[in-house]
Amino acid sequence: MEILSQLADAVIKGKANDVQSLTNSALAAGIAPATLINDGLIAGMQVIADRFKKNEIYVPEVLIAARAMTAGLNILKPLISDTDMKPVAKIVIGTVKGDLHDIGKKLVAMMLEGAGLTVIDLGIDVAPEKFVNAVVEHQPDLVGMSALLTTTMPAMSQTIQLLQESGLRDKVKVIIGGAPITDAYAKQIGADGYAPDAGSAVDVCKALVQTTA
Amino acid sequence: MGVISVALDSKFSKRYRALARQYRTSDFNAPLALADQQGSIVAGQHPCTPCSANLEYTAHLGKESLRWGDAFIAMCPHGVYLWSIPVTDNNELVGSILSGANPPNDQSQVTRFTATARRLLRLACKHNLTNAALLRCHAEEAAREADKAQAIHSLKGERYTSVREVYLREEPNLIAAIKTNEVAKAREILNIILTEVYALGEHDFELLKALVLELVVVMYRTAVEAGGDPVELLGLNYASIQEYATITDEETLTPWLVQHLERLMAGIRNNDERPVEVQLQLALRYMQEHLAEPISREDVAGAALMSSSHLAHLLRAKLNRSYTELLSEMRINAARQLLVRTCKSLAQIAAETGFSDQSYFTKVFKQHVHMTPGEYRRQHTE
Repeated sequence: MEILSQLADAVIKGKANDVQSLTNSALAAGIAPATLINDGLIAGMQVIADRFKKNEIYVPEVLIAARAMTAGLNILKPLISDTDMKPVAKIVIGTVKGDLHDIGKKLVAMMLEGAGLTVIDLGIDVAPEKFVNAVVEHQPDLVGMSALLTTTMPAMSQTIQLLQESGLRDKVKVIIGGAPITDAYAKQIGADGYAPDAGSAVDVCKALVQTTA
Repeated sequence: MGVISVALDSKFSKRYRALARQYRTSDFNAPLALADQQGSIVAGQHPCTPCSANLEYTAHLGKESLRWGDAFIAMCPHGVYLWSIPVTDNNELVGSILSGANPPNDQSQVTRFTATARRLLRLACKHNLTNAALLRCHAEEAAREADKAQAIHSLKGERYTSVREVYLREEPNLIAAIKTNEVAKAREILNIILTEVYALGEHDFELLKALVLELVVVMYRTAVEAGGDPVELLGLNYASIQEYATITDEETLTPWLVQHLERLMAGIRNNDERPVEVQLQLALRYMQEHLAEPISREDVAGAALMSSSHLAHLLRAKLNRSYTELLSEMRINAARQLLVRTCKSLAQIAAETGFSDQSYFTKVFKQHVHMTPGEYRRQHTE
């Protein structure tokens, strides 16, 4: 359908107004909201994620694309019931305690949302207890932690420990990322996955969810 | 030290005892001590037993309290709150009065410490242990300095310098990537800078717009320095500055910025000159990537497209190091990272950082870091 590729294209170019008007006219033409989300908005965001991963585009381009996608989602989400569209997975995400960096984690959250995951963003400076409470409350498939400082890295390990002590560790997959993090560190503290950048975070999360299923 | 202790004993001990009697009546039981100028306790009990051995630290607290003209409160390395009052003989610092307490369970209670410290200061003035007029002078001066610092700080805006810092830090890498035609790498580096820019300008579009312009301007300068044609680059800029003025949202700012970044990269790339910074960066990158191998100065010089003697000259001039010194420094730094961030064995780390065997690794490590790799790991992973 022509309009779906137009919609994807508007997301790629980051044109929020175009996304809104295209979404409304597609709805008027009788296209199902779930189709618009999957084959229009998410398809467009997927292109952005791939290009970003390959270093073909810049951070601001990702930001405006994500904003354009959200403009479409805001119209469509109220129109669909949970049964119409099952999210790929649910993730609770946050920057760990003591760390006030937001933008990297936000990029990851946007990419994941763009890939069809339900994202619960706990924000910055998130204490281990808060992660654990969020797991109890939202029952996600994944927990994502970000740290930009070497001094805050140990908070990741503390969170994993607390999940273990609360008997929740087996219920979620833990993925970590951020500038100082390495694959070796992830293994050392017992995380399930590590993503070096926002683009590959999507792949890692999807792979982790598939191994669970 | 003896002389001063005697001076403290004879002249101040009596006054100190009088003060101590009154201080004990305070609402919680904080230890009290009199220290001489060198930090030795001459009466009473140090509030933190491990710190009492650290004379320099105790003396430092006294000096700080005189400098600020106020009770000086600090948390010592052992987690005890300490407050210090200078003991003065006329205008000379001769010692300090020291008190302190363990951190309270309730953080709001910390304000009680401030009140107690001030009370101790008033007592010290009353018992003529400290020169109240001198302290007032210092306090006023400190307040003036603080105001000045505050004014400069808000004028400069801390956030603003941080973007420039990030850019300057990344600049050599950026030029090297562009010069060697690694476009994806160059974009990755620019994305690191842009992440910082957008984090700062997140909630204020006008600020974001200004920061983005600044990035383009500093990059323009890089392009000219790297040999780009100033007239051509400036021509491009002039036309687009007019366009810049009309931008009112991120949707139009983004293509403007992207177009500039790509054009400036082309401007830098299209020039054949290789500034020394670029050559140096190529050399350093080659070394970093081949640390595990036995790399000779000739190998590195070849990778950076210069002669071996020119490389030696460049390292001395820019980094003040010989090739061998730089190489072992880089290897030790890499080993430090691996020790802290991984569980790899020492033998494995030695191999991965280019040391022929573990005992040689330990020897060189000790020379640089003044402890063994094992000690370093324990100290940094506890």
